[in-house]
Amino acid sequence: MRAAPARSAPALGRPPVLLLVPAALAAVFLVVPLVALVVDTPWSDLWPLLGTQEVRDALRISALTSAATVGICVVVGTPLAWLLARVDFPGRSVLRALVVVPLVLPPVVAGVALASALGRNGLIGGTVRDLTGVTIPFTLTAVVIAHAFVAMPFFVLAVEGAFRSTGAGYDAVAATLGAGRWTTFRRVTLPLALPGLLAGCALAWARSLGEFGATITFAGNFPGTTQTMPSLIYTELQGDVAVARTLSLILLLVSVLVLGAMRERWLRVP
Amino acid sequence: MTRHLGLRVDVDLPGRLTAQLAAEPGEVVAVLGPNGAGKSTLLHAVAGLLGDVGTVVVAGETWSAPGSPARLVRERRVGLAFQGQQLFPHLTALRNVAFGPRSRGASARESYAVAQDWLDRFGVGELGGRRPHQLSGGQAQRVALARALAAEPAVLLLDEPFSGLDVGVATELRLELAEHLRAFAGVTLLVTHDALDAFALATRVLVLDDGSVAQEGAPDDVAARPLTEHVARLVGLNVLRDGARLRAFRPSAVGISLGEPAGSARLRWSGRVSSVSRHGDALRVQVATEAGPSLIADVTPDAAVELALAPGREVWLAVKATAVDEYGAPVA
Repeated sequence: MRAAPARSAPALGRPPVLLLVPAALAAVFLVVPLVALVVDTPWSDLWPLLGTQEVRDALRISALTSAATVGICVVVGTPLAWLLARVDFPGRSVLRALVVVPLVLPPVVAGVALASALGRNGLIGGTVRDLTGVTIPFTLTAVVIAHAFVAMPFFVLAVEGAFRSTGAGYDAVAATLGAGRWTTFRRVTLPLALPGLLAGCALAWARSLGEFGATITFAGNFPGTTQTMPSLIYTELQGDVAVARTLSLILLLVSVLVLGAMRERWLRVP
Repeated sequence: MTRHLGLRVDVDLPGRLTAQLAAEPGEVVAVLGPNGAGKSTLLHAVAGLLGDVGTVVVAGETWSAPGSPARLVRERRVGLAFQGQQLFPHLTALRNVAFGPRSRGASARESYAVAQDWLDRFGVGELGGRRPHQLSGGQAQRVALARALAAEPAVLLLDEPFSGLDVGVATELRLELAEHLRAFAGVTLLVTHDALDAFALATRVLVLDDGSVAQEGAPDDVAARPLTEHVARLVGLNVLRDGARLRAFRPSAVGISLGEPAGSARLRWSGRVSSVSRHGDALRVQVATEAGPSLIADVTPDAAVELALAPGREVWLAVKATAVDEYGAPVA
């Protein structure tokens, strides 16, 4: 028999005040700033602002880099998640721990770390410059690298969880039916983990869209090349606060729209 | 020379399972035993899911042998049907069954033709477009068996294929499966908890107990003279062990009385009724005896009423010496 839905909980008595009061506080705390942003924004400025070159550039760069970030996560993050979920190799737990470090790393530190590795005189960046004359920092590529660096752990964790929960049992059945590991991955493991994969994409996309610290440290804040929406908001905050608010509202609307679209299908709470 | 399709297994997994088994082509070997006896381990060992396990030779091919790397699961030709959830939930019944032929390199068209043929043979041909969650338990199990056979296995491994099904559905499927097993050229290993499976389908019974072979033989012999309490319970016999000697007698041969019965002193026990349940036309009474063993006796409903048999009732059990089959256990 299925458990009764939470709404019929009155049979168990009223929720205790000790839980209700802090819960209400938390809810208010989370909702009020968003309401303030919506109420306090000069909505009439919205349309003309969208027409300015700066804003259009920032929107374009944000859309481009967040899409690229999701793409990179899917292409290299999915195999990493599979490796962590399905292959028993020495040092697996160490690798998993290292992979999720960017999750807890302050974004600015992530930017500094990226600069140390890929900067003009960095560990890898120096060699790349000597060989090709190309430098990575303060380019659009640098923005994508910074975003992928901070977003990948979210993606890998979500997808690894999905791979684990779909179970290795189906892999064994596929093997008894003669399927190799690649065929099994393609025809069984991946389709079964698809909801988790899409949730991972949503997480990575959201993380990328909001990324600021690592981006501004490693890629700078140049209009038209590396200035993303959050960077532009930060810049406007130094000058015209109203513009910053309007831009924030745009970002909020985009986020909510995408979240709403995905919640319908993939992020449904069980 | 025709290819020998038999099976030879010598599994040595210390602490889990030590067992030898040889079977001729076409044989159906029922694997019986209590939970944790190593039944599923034996199947997984043959399938290759456990890696190096000792010797596994099927249809003249060495799948595993001491000192050489074991053959990968996908390179063994096994047809595996686990209990419970084993159909790929995201694929239709047809695609599930076609998965084996497709993985072994057949074209999509050939695979679907083979799959449709197998679905037809199991009487679920019109359900090919359904996903597993749209199938009943019996239908899903038929699709799973079709999938196992469609892969053209050299050995068929069935792990409790009827568990979780309604009694009527299980009976129907058992009859169908018997037919398919007769047509199957290779060896079948059938893990089961049901005496009916073992005796309706099997040509041989392998009893596992605590990770080793406790008994092996023809179904009738094992049913008449079980060496383990587990099988005795499965076939509904009372078995008493006295050193290396065993005594078996049917529940219908046991008499129940309220007072101490006169006669042979050895074959009577006093005890308390622990349960009473229907068994065909009779009532099956389980009695926990003071001497230790739990015995079962079949009585008519009239007698049960007359003796007021209910759990907790103190009774005497007696059995005539002529109704007792006495035999020896092989030296361990």
